Amino acid sequence: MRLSSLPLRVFSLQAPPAKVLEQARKALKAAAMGMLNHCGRTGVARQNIACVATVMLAAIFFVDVVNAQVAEPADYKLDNFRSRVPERLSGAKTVSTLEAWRLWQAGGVPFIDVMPQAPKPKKLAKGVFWLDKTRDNIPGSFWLANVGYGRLHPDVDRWFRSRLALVTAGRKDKPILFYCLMNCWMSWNAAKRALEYGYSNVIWYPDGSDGWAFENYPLKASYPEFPQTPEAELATAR
Amino acid sequence: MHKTLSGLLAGAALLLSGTVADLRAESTWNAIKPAIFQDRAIHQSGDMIKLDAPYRTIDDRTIPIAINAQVSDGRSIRSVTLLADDNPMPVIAVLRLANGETRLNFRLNIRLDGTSPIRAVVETSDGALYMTEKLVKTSGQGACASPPVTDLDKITDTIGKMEFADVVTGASASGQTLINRRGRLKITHPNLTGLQMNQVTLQHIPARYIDTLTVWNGEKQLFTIESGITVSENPEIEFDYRLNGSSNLTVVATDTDGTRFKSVLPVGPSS
Repeated sequence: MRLSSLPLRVFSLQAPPAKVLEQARKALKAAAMGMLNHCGRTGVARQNIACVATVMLAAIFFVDVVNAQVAEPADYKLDNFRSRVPERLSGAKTVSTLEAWRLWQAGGVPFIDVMPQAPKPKKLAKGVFWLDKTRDNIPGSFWLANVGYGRLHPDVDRWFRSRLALVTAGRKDKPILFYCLMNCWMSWNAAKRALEYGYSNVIWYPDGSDGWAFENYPLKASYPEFPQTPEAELATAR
Repeated sequence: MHKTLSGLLAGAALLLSGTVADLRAESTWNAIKPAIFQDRAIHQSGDMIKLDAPYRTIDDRTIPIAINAQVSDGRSIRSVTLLADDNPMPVIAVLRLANGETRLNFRLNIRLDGTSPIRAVVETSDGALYMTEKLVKTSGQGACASPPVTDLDKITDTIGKMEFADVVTGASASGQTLINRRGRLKITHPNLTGLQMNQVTLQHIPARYIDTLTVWNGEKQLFTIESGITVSENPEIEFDYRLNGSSNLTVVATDTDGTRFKSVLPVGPSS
């Protein structure tokens, strides 16, 4: 494990590999129970040892809580998009920042950024100053905004399909990578959607531009591509 | 060794990220400044302007910001422009005072899409500009796109309704004489940003927000406000005012759909 990934894991509450955890947990628990047994038999410095052992057991409990895995839902995630994500997406390949970096360096895999962003509204006051927002994403990405929501408007769905077809030159077996931010379900949803569309080589990069930035890999200020959808008509907007 | 070093550097980068964010904020301002103020010089305000805003918001959809300004060298205050750099519509509101006031107290509730510097730029009667700024950190709710709390099918009954009452300030409570009164105006309006999604149709709800508001006391205009989508749903503003003969305030607001809302409101404490 790279040292630089350690604070990142703590910071993002990302779980270390389950095997490592389990071993650490067992060792801690054995030590704590040993201490409790020992002071039970000897009565020497009983309170101090019991106190330490209790703290250790509490630490195990805390680690367990922090590392509780997020179960992979059967369907798309509909809300709370900024929350912990599952370890994997069934049917897709999940990659780390290092693996994503290697794919990016090798080239040939389209990187799809699915960070949501609302397009400039049509009905603003005349002459108002509007600043289109940029985002620093992975250079060469295709930023397809708003395709990672839980449900898509039919026009957005159509647009997403056509953009993917263009990016893959119509080949459903071409690898495509999806990302947004760390702990953001938008990329999980979008990758799942690509699987549903029939793409067979879907790659999910859960740490996204945050993980990328953390390793000081290059980022570039970009503007999104927006799906063309009509604005909703409001009965009250007349 | 190399890995250790890169880890330390990455850690340092994380610690420095606050500074990096500041630099980026500066570059956003560099894009906004010429669009709003052209090449006019903007001076640091010193003690002239005080801007109150929470360092960290509780609810990104309604963040109270207050500005207090005073000039005491014979000039008066012509206007105040409030800005939020990182909102897509950076101008929150422009407040234009009608009567050459030398003092100003003004408060309103805004929403922010993300952490952003908030700026207040005061223009004095001689055309000079003075600015103060404050960074406001958000709670990550992305308020510009968060669904309106108003039931949009029912807004015709309530849209444009206004309430007004004097606010009891510390000075009036302690028996001191207030030169100015302070009033609070509430307007029922969804102030739709155009960035919000209809959760049923999955389309964006068209923007519809209050873009102008004018307040008179009797025949005399007190101020006008031009505002944008950064002002919260159901806006609330507080302002100091001076009574000049009439015991009514007249408020006229327009929204971007061209609807005009007018209320005549008695002044004085709420009953």
